[in-house]
Amino acid sequence: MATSDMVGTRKARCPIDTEVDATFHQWVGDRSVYWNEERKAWIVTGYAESARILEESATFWRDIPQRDGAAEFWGRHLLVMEGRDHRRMHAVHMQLTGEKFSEDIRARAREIARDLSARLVKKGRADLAAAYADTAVFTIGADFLGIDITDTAMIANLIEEMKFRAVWKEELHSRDGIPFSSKVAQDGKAAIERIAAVLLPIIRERRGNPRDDLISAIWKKGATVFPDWNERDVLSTMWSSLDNETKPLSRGLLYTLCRDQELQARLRRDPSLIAGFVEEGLRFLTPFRTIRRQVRQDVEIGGQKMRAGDNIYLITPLANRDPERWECPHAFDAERKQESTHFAFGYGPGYCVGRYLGRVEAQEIVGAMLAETSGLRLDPQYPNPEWAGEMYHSIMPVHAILER
Amino acid sequence: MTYVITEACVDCIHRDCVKECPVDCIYEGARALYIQPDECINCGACVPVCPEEAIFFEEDLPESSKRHLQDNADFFSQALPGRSEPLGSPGAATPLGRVGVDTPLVASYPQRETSS
Repeated sequence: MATSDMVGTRKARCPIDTEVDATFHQWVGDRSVYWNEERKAWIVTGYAESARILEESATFWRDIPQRDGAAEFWGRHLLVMEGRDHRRMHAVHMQLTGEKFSEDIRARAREIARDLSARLVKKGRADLAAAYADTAVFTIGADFLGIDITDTAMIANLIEEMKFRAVWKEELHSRDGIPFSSKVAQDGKAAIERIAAVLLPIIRERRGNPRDDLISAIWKKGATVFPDWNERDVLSTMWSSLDNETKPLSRGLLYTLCRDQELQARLRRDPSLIAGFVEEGLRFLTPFRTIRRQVRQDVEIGGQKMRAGDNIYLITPLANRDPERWECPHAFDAERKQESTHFAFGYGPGYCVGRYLGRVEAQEIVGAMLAETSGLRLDPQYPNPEWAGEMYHSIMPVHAILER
Repeated sequence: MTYVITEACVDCIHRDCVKECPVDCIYEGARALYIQPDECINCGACVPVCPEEAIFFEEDLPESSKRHLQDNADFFSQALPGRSEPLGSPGAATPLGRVGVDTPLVASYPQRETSS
């Protein structure tokens, strides 16, 4: 199926419609479940099949624990758990950072994003990906964890170290991963230890002197699941607040605004549309783009017989464009009423525990930049940025001109 | 596999779980809520929001509550008192509204005072 066919006869509403379709075109097959010899894996693009795979965790589950270096990367993190431990820890995460928590931190997230936006606007130009989206997500997370974000040197240092970790993260989860002995993994591990050297003293202090922050709450709640809960476990749990899908999502949303002046004007006139814009961004951009699963027991799905041990790639942007589920699914429509549950946050037992937080953060990051500017556009001094990334897919750098 | 609402829900019905459920699969009887097992996606979002700690994954059910696995299913697969047809799988609880009838098991529990 050609990209132009996928857009269909409907006139595209947004300049990025065709551009984004081209980023997952390589995954379109002749049926909704097919074997990819190059990846030695099943590719799943259908909505119903994706939903089933994500729901039936006894038959399909993550292969992360088997990847070389996963234990060193994640520690005792939700993503390497399964069964009862996973269910209990998943519930703990939802207790800690569910809807109420997310709404509670909204005002503070707005304040942080407004402050960061205002500083960038003074310069007139910025890379909205690294200097704004990534920095805002990290800083908002650090703040609600209970890390002192007024220590700007420490925050800047941690953000730099997180970049090494992010490179390892992408390589660890793409294709079959990379050896722990590789330079990327060793550089990532070294960065994690440097980050730990900064954060562990804070974590230790918070154990004896709990505050009204997430680090203190993680100490308390984690111990209800694991009696031997320790400072490294707290650190492992914190990663999700500091580095997550909201970064690539926010980059993509800001780029979309730079490309679509009419949409930008509409959101400026009516900020109540921002929540819908973010939701459509999740469906359409689906920054968490390939969800990986491994077959646990022989099963038939989508007319294909899968064997225990087979690997699966769920291609979320394609599932999120099922024409049976969304009208004109290949069009970015910021005012779309989401007719179905999209899989940008996964689904089923692995449903992202940060889905409330991510939405709030992205809404406030977009809202703050619009509030602090009168115009955003791509900086013509730089070549057009490119979409990249197999697991977390997004666009960067996004060099932009910021008009007051 | 499914999550199950147990006896701790009876006469409480806070409905926090109903709001949290991403697929709208928690239905309201008269004195308790019930999870439609075929519609439940096993995400567990309902568990931490229940103030009565009434919801369990079926494999985690306490011995004393195991009968609610079948009872939740019966709410949909058996014709409820006063009805000629089972509810089946309506697809979403909100459009259906309050069913207003319970399974014989839930109806048999003594009435209790609650704060809700």
